[in-house]
Amino acid sequence: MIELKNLGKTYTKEVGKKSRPALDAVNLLLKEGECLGLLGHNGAGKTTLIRILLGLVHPSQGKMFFDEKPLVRKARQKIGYMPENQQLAARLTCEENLKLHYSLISGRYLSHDLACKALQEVGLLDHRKKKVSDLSKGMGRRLAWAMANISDPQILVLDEPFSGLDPLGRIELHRWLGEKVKAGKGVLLCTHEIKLALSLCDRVQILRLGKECFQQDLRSKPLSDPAELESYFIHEDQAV
Amino acid sequence: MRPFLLLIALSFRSLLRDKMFLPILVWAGLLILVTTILSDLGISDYGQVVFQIAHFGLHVTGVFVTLIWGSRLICEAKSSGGVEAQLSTAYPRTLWLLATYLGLAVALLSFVVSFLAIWTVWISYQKFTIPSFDAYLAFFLLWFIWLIVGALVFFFGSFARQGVAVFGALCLWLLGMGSSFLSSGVGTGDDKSLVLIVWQKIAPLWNFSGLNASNSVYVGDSLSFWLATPAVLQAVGVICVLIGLAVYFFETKDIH
Repeated sequence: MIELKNLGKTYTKEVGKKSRPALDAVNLLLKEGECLGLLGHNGAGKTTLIRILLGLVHPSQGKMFFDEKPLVRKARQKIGYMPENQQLAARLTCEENLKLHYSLISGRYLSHDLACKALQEVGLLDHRKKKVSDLSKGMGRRLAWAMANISDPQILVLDEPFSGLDPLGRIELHRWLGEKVKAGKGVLLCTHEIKLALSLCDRVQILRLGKECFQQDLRSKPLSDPAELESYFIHEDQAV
Repeated sequence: MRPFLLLIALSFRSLLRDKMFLPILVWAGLLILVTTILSDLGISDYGQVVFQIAHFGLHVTGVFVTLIWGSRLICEAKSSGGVEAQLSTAYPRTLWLLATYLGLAVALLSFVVSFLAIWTVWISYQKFTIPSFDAYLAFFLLWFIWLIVGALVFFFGSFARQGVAVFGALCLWLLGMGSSFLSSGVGTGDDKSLVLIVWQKIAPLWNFSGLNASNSVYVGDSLSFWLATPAVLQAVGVICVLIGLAVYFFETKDIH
């Protein structure tokens, strides 16, 4: 469904600093009905990869495909994105953020009833008139979750989706992701949480210093010990 | 068109929530205080003094409000990630920038209209002999100065951080207001360096004193739309160029 080939990004060199590619010849394949876990330490290049995929950052090299055709702006409307932090319009209410997001994706207005329904699904109905700046971190995550799902996208790109959620929210999001994968959606899950990735993902791919260092299909070759993945994640000398 | 209009409306609404009318109320309060003091002193050109104080105050207040609002709409939205979430929808960056700028323009228009409403009530109450149409036009022309300042913030904000955008816009506004004074000063000397010659060519293009018409209201050169048209057209041209450049940088730069 989504294929990234030889993707690279080098940010403009700052004076006195040696430039290093944030992303170096990374390949990625996300199929329908599959959850792909993208793991890596801080600064590994996960967020850069997501931003390139979403068209926020221009790649230095590589090609991107959606349904075997070059990824164009129109196709990006089929991607739902849940950003890492509370990256929403702070002075707008939950309902306004949701309506604006829907309108930017689809070009149509979101009715009050549908907005309320979407907010109810993530437990934010009572807070719909609250400004984002007045929300707690967990509530902000729930709103971002509603926004990622509002247009029923084919692909979900989630950057640290569980961070800041309370235990109930984590269970609900976990269950919801499982249902989405079963319904044939493709899910790209960026996370530091290895156990969570193992419980949700069909495949995992690890980035280190902008390079792909490990990937495994967990359906055909389940990991006997989660610590094995942890070792790839942490120890440089064990990386492939 | 719908998302474009919604972006304008929500940009305006987010600025409205910044308690935008507070500076106007503060300034109106100060105006009442100053006029009360001046009436006690028995100054002859009472009406002119009140008008010029109001005009100057609104001009400067509006510029600072524009700097704050403009930088919030583009720089703060970039740094806090609001832009990232909105542009991840694949909405064209150019349209996003234009709609946000128009949201700022509407907010500034409502700012000047609110002030004029307070002004009308105040002069009706005080029964001043102020040439009302000229005064209203002079106040309205300030809107174009603010639009230029807003375009400057958007231009700098499209590639730089908030501090740079505000400082750059502030400096260029000051240069634009003092352009005629500076060019008349440098033109009189015998020693004309290349910089001065270039400056004399550029100065008329970056001269916004035509929009600052507070003196015209009382000097006797009655203001009219026709007299103000060249200055307005120049402002529109400058705004188009600045927003065009902002769009170019916003399209080509990474958002992170």
